[in-house]
Amino acid sequence: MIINIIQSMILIIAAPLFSGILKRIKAILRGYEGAPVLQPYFDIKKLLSKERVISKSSSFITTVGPIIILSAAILSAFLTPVFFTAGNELIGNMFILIFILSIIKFFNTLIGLDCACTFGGMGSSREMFIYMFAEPVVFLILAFVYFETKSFNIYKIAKLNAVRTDISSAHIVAAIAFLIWLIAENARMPVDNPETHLELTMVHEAMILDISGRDLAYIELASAIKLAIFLTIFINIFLPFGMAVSLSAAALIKAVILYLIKMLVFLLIIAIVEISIAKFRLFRVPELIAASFSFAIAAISMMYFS
Amino acid sequence: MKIEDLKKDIEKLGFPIKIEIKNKNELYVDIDKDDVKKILETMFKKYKLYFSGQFCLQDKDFIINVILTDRKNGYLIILRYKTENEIVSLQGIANQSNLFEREISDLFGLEIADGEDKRNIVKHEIWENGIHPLRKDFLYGQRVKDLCETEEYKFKEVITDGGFQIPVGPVHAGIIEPGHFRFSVIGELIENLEIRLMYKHRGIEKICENVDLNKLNLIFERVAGESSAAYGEAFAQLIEKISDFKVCESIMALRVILLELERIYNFLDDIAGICVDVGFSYPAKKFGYMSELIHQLCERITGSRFLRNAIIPYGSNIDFTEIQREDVVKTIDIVEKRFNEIVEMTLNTVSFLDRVEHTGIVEKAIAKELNMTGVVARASGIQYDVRKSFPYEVYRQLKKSINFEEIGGVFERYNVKIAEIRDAFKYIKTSLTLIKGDVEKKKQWIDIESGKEGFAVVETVKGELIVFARTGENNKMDRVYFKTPSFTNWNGLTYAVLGEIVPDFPLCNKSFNMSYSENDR
Repeated sequence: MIINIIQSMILIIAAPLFSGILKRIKAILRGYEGAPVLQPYFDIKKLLSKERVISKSSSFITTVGPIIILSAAILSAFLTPVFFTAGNELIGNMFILIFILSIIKFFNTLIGLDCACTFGGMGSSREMFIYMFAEPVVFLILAFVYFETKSFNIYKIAKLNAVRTDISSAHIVAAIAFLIWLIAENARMPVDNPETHLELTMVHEAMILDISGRDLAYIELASAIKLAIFLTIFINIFLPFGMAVSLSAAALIKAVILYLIKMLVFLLIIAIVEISIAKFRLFRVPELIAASFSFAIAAISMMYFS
Repeated sequence: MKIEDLKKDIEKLGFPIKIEIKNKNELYVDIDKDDVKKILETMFKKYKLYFSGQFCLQDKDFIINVILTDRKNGYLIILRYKTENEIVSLQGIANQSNLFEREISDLFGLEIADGEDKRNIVKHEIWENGIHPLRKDFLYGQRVKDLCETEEYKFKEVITDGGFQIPVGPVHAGIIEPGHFRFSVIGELIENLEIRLMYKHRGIEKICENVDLNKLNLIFERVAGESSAAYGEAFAQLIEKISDFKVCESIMALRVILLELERIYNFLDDIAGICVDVGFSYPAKKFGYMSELIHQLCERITGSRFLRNAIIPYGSNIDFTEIQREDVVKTIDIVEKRFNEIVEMTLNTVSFLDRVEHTGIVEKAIAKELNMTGVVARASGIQYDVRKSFPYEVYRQLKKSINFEEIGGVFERYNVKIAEIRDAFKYIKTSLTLIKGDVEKKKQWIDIESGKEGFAVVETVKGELIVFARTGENNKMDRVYFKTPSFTNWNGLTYAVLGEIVPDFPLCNKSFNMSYSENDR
């Protein structure tokens, strides 16, 4: 129980570090030094000490939204195994996890619509447009995982998959589907460009254009946590080998190290993808998600027929 | 056709006109105010002329000048008529003449006689009323007060069910100059775009009238920072043309090197911008890096990253010796090799091509109608390059062909810019062979009698720049007029984005990359 709380705390605290590492990897791959990996912490600290400016046309949504978003992100972190799982936890239902994560998206969209700025509205409409296609994918992936492990509890799934030795090709296909969904869900390239300054092309950033000061810090922290949670879920569903299932020191150290290595590998993969392709035209994004959808269906069929 | 023959030919048209040839390729045609439209129509029909601009001079009366260019022979034909308080509107005959008329109307306070578009262009709502900054009775140094007396500007609006407007700017998220973009959209589709500029009009034409000729090149270079060398070249060309002076070939070749260096770093930044706007960050950073190498080269050879104060009339303001020559050759070689690799990479990336191909198309007919010039026009199939039509310095030897594409989309503009960079490498190498020995820094005092006038035409990175100047008393200019390329090219963008989706606007905009400050001159 306590180890679960500790591992989730570590995840929350390390989340901005993972964003910082991702940015640094991208910088190095493009041939320049880049900001230090701890930069996201400095940014959050700076934003927390800044004044909060709220548009006159906005309602209570903008006031409470950022806090709700951050709390949803933190709450979902506590429902995710990071490097340890006992497999008998009562928490950790995947549906609850997915819906808590949806709260973040829902409030982001409301904030975009709330601040009476044209860009916010455009961002919200685009976000919902992408989400509309992305949501069915996750249910198919959950269905696949259920067929594989007969469970919806992520702790149990992680434990079962951690000891699995025969990895089927269906498992790999489903992992690809999940990875594409993860990219779409976290507003990364090629769906959205997190580095852009162009209001007219933004999706996620457009919704929070009017947010400032500590509200912005909350939202930035929440997105960092969200990315870390998604990658952790991915690792723990599809690649959980080496996860600690008992509380021995040796197992825990091995689990932590393996977790970090897996995380770095996936950050590197995301970074390579992000620098080597151009962003898709907005109306091409459904085609990408359709690919993810097909992978998920294919995974289930392969499972069923094998 | 020789210019003398053209003069005789125009005289035969049978209008009461007076023609004068100046500076070898400028034909000044004094006409009557009532005949303007008729003469213009006849001349358009008879000769292959292009409308390039319209400006106002102030003597006792106002003199309106209509600039026509003969792109084949490299002649400028200027129709002049006197008027007391109104401009004959050429809207409908000469394309985009509304821009020039509205500008004259705002800055000189003349009425536009007939014509559809009479809205303010320079004057914004904040201006005080009844003020005309370019008139001689508006004293130099006097400021336009912020009194909010000018009438409100009316945008073209598309109003339908489900349609809405997106106002963008004048303050933007990026660090760019001010410009207001009013989109009328239905969903994500752009139905109409209107651009409003000139938020920071600097009155440079007024400043030019009050600065000594020997310092004036500095003011010219400030019209548009990214084309400093081209504006400096325009000034040098102008002064040398008026005083009938010819510099030696080494200096001419050196000027071409500087102009082409400017072209390289600008177009490198442009194509880097195109890559940034589609989120293709690897080549974007690499192009940016190469542009920085060129900037540093510029600083090493001229002392200025933007080549300022290097090109001056009658000589050169920098030394160019064996050391600089080697530096240029070495840097150009490094940049050229890496440039080709990265370009190859972008052209082999499907996701990049998918974004740029068939996006933001300006058809040839529209480009022609808007009198677009420069790279953006050449991407639409208009084969016009000032370096070929009005060859200056050593371009007569260098510029043999024109880079152009047919379709006129973002990809074509990208390709033309790449071709221009490759040409620039070539021209720099050839120019280096034309420099005999060392060029020494030599500044000669400029002193010109009053009443002389002339035009300079230069191909800047944005297109065709035409500068008119007339000298006045005390070694100062009496009137300077800049027909900047961006002034007319901006409207091409409004056509490029029609039918595109809103998220593709920044890409179209970056492929045009027009200058705001060229309008705010």
